[in-house]
Amino acid sequence: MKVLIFFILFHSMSVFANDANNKEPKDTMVIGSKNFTESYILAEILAKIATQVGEAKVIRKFGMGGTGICYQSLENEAIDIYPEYTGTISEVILKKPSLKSWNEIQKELFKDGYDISSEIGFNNTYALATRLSYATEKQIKKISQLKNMKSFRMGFTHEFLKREDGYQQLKKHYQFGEHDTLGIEHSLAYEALNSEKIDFMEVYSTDAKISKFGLRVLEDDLNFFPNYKAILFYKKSFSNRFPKTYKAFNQYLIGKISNEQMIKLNSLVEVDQKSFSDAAFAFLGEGFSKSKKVKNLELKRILTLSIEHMKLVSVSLIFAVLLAVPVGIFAFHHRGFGQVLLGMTAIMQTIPSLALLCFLIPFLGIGNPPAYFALFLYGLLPIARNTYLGFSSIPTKLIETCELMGMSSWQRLCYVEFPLAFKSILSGVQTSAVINVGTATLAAFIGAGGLGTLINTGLALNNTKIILTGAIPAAFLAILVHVFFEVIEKRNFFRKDH
Amino acid sequence: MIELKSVSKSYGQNVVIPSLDLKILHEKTHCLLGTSGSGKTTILRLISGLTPLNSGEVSIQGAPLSNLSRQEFASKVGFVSQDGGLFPHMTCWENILLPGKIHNKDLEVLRSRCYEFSKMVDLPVSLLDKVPAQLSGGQRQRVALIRGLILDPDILLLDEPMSALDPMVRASLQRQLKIMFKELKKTVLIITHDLHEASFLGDVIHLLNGGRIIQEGSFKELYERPKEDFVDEFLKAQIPDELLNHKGSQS
Ligand SMILES: Nc1ncnc2c1ncn2[C@@H]1O[C@H](COP(=O)(O)OP(=O)(O)OP(=O)(O)O)[C@@H](O)[C@H]1O
Ligand SMILES: [Mg+2]
Repeated sequence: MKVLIFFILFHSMSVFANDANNKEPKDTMVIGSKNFTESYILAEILAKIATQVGEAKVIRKFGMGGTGICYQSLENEAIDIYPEYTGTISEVILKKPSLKSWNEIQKELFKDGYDISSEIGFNNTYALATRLSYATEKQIKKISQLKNMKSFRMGFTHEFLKREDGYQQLKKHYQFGEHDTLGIEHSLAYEALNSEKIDFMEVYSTDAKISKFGLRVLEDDLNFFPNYKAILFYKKSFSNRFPKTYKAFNQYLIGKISNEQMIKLNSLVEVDQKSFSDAAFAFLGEGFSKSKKVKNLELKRILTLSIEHMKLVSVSLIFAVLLAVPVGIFAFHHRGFGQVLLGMTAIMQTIPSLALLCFLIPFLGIGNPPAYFALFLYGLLPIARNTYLGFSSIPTKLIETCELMGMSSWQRLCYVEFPLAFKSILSGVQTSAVINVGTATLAAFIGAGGLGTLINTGLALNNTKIILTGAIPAAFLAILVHVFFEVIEKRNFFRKDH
Repeated sequence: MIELKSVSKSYGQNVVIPSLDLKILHEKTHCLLGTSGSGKTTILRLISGLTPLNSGEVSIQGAPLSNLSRQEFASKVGFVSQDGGLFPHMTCWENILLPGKIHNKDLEVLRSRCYEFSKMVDLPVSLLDKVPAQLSGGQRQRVALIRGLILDPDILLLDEPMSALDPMVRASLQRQLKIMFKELKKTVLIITHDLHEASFLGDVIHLLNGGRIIQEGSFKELYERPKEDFVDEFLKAQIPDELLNHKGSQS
């Protein structure tokens, strides 16, 4: 038992030692992506080009949970480059929605040490779409034509109907009169349009469903919708660090993907169920070597991810135990200060997981360290609390007997308090472990791997099967962990009265 | 040997010990006798420092209690609390040998001493492999007694150590203990409800009521010259009628 604990401890130390050195050495390039199909595909294209160039070892940190995390990661050099959109940069990152053009945005970013590539080509923004048959019949290509049309029906998401810059503004901008509008859930709107219940709906302009349902996207000829032109986002130094790769990106990708092409690539993945890698190859063409990577068996991948997952949980748990048990004991001996400590761990519990992960990026980068740390923080409360409760439940009589025997507090701890509180402590550890098996699925958002990777990909693709290939093993692991602790409890090393 | 000087103790408004003077003499066996709730356990707790006193002074072998460290106290004083205080998670063997481990004693010596004691208290050694919960109340008391005696301390503080034993075992144990106390020259304070036990074991008996010592002395003194009606009543309650009649006809 002891040997095992030491082995795990030693092992976990080395894990941390490795991960502490999170900033990648010069000859590696970390490519990031957000957690939706288009971002995955673009990032995969980048990765393939960079691999082909061979200037640096390519590391993929795909599927990170949102703009905040990606930007934080870039700022802290946890990633070197990721695909972004001009509109997102001006609104979310710079928080200056007035900046519209590529030039303005690039200039502003450059001041802060960042840079963006020229436009990849397509613009992923809101757009109005209609059935192809309807479009040909009425001969509509531009939104401005709506002004002269007699009657039509529109279906919009409730959000678009309500938003300041939504439907009301659109109506004003294009000066079309009062028409039937229907508030409808986005995915249902496609069906409604297809079955001629509505004639127009709002879409994302590169949505795979545009191709699936054969829709026509109307040209925003009076420039109502903001621009979300895809670009590459990186630090200024990127072009100097990887000059050849930089050049290759410009040569193969920049200016090369139109809206129609992006819709096709998206639908390759979302409709035809091809992998991101296949979609990337479809764009890059035959010139790119395919053979290098042996395709993982699905089962093997799940196993690898499960192991990664359990490593996240177990390592963070060991450190949580190492801190929380002493904290619980301390809280028991110093009730006042103890309550404060317990309160603090409770507060940590209430921080939303993603917010905590995001908050940790400036200090720990992305990948394993913040994931370990966040799981560690979440593990603390149940263990500290149960340690405290376990110690509190020891009868005073027994503590007095310890005193009368002349035990030192250390002897008392080892011979009496710890063995008697062990069961309670263990159930705290069990709670933490089971909760963390669940929480660890979020680690994928910051590129720490684990079963969340599958869930994340599945969510991006809206593909329940892939979600389940991550969720079911995760649930299974949770049960396994639960049973593991039940068995330990039955064995109860420290007590003879069982 | 043990001395309490105008010791008082109250829990909030409840004055349990108003003011107590008590002397436990060297190598003598003293019995604290009294009704339930009269403060017997409290006195023992005051002597062992488990309960802080409100005023007065306790000294052990001339040294103030407050100057003794827990270790020093434990090496001088063996203690058996009213409910035994055995550790539920250890076997009886482990319970008994624990004081030895704490004080770095030779466990083999203690083990053979334990065999001796368990014969003396009439407890099968095979029971010692069990945990306390698997023993009867009387068996547990004997294990607790063995543990209290195991380090062979000079002073013994025993809180009703035989209350759960059947009369036969108790009688033989009382005989054994009396011999041991004398042979090994122990200073003993033993709490009991049982008048017979007090009269048999006690060189000095302190009769307690409401936290005050009503009378102290040998059983004979208490019996023949009760200071208050209470003493007479207390004794009468436990002495069979024939004996009382006998006393009545004498006086
Ligand atoms: N921790 C405590 N807090 C408040 N009151 C207490 C406490 N301990 C004891 N007492 C009170 O002190 C009085 C004496 O209690 P003590 O335990 O000394 O009685 P005792 O003589 O040992 O009785 P018994 O023969 O039933 O064991 C009782 O009235 C009891 O209620
Ligand atoms: Mg008592």
